[in-house]
Formats: sequence, structure tokens, C-alpha cells
Amino acid sequence: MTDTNLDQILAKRQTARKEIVNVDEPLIKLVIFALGEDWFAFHGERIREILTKASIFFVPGCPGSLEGVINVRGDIESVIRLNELLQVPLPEPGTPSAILLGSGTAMNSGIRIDRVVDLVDIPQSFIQPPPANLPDQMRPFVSGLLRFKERPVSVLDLEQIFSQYVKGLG
Amino acid sequence: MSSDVDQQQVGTALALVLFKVGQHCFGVEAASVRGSGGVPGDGVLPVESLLTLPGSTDDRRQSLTIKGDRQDYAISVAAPVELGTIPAEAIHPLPVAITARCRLPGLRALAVADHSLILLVDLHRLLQTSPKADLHQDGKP
Repeated sequence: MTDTNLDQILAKRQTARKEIVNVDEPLIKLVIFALGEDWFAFHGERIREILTKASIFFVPGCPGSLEGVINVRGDIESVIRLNELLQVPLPEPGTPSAILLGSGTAMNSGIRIDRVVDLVDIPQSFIQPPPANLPDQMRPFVSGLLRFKERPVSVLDLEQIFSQYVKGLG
Repeated sequence: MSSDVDQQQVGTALALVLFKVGQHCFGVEAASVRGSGGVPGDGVLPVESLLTLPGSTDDRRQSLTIKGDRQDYAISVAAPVELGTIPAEAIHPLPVAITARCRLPGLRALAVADHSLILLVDLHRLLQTSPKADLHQDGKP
């Protein structure tokens, strides 16, 4: 037993106290997904549904980022991909993927992603402001950053993405 | 109000003239088509040109006469041309992303029938405004 043991114990207790979540803090639902090597998230209230299987109808005359349309129980939804907008490399053809059905003011649309990582409820304080070294192309669309499973996750602003997409970006 | 709309839509359907451009199925309101005939003459405007799509390699062509405000327009499409009826509930307005970003001229709506997508185009309006159509009225270049 040495004097430093108490210091160590107190230091550990202090760290542990910091990690205790304030249960009164509002929780935010996030849909965390992978796109290329990176992880992103949308606020859960903006995502209506996650589709793992959907047949895409190609519409001629569309940019590459607009894959086409899908039939969702009798409704037609567009499907866009964010790779061009965020400058994330495109996956190899045939790579498994999923579609998030997103709702925004400017539009509703399916969004092609590589895979859903998780659906989580996290305290608001876990989301940090976007870092200063964020790549320029992501800056307008990233509203925050968090760490999840030891990886950085960029929280995307779906409203901003949709409004810029309609204006011709991506 | 909505129930009135629903009642109006029940049983309603749209008659369409259907043809293909490549792998894509296109539909034109039958009311805007005067008729479809045999092999089109030389110089008749191909629909692919009107829709700014790659030309067809299919040798079998058929003429289609589209009603114009003052004069009819003759165009050529890949044979066969079919007449079909699509229920109103299978016809959808264009999603916002398609309206904003799709550059296909004359695209008005989408329909899903028999697990296929039909691109509903307004050839009447397209021909009225297309400079390409000026020399092809009534199929006489």
C-alpha cells in the first residue's frame, strides 16, 4: 500500500463519475451507417424506413447520383446516393447495400448506403461540434461528430443535403 | 374532401400508347395520338431524337401521329406500338429529385404496371416547343 494508491483510486472514481450519463439529458435517436470506409449518421426522426431489398427502376436522363426510383408499397420514391456529394468512393458493383427512406422539407427520397451499423439513442452531449479539419466537401452537411465503437461518426444534416441536392449539388 | 377524390379515382384509368426506347417503356396519353401507321418515311423525326436518347438499332420502326394545335406531327418509334390502360392509382407524380435533376424532356409522370416502370411523356407539348419538330410536321420534312 502506498500513498499513490489513494490518488489512483480517486482519479479513477473521478473519471468514472464523468462517464456516468445524466439520465435526465434528452436522448437523440441516430441511424448510424457505413459509406465506404467512413461512418455517418442521420437523426432518426428523419428516417422513415430502412430497406434492405428493393428493385431500382433506372430513369434515363438522370445524373449518376440519382439511381432511379423504387416502388415502396405502391408509392414511388427516388433513390439518391451521397458518394458524389461527400466525395466518398463508390462501392464495387454487386456490393450489398441498403436504402434509407429519408424525409425532409425540400424532398423525400431513398438514400443508398453500404450498410446500417446501428440504431442508437445517445445523450445530446455526446455529439461534438464538427472539427475544424473537416474536409471542405463535408463541411456544409456535417452538423456534429461523435465516437461510436471507437470510430468517428459524422452526423449529417439531411435537410441541408436534400436542399442542396435539389439545387444541383452532387 | 379526400373521400370525394378517392371516389373519383376508383375505377378511373388512363389510356396510353406504349412504345419502347431501348429497354425503357414510354407511354403517351392516347388522347394526344391521332393514330399509328406503318413504316415511317425517310426524314420522319425519331422519338429518340426528341427525347435526347441514344438512337435505336432496331430496324423495325412504326410511325406515330401526334395531335398538334394547328397541325399533326409524325414521329417514328420502335415497333411494336401498343395501346394499354393504366389504373389511376398506378400513376405517380414525379418525385422532387427527378423533377429537379432529370433532364429527360417531356417527362410528366411515372407508372408502375406488371413490375415495370412506364415513363409518361407529353409528346404533344414537346413537339410544340421542340425546334427539331419544325421540319417534320405531318411527316413531311
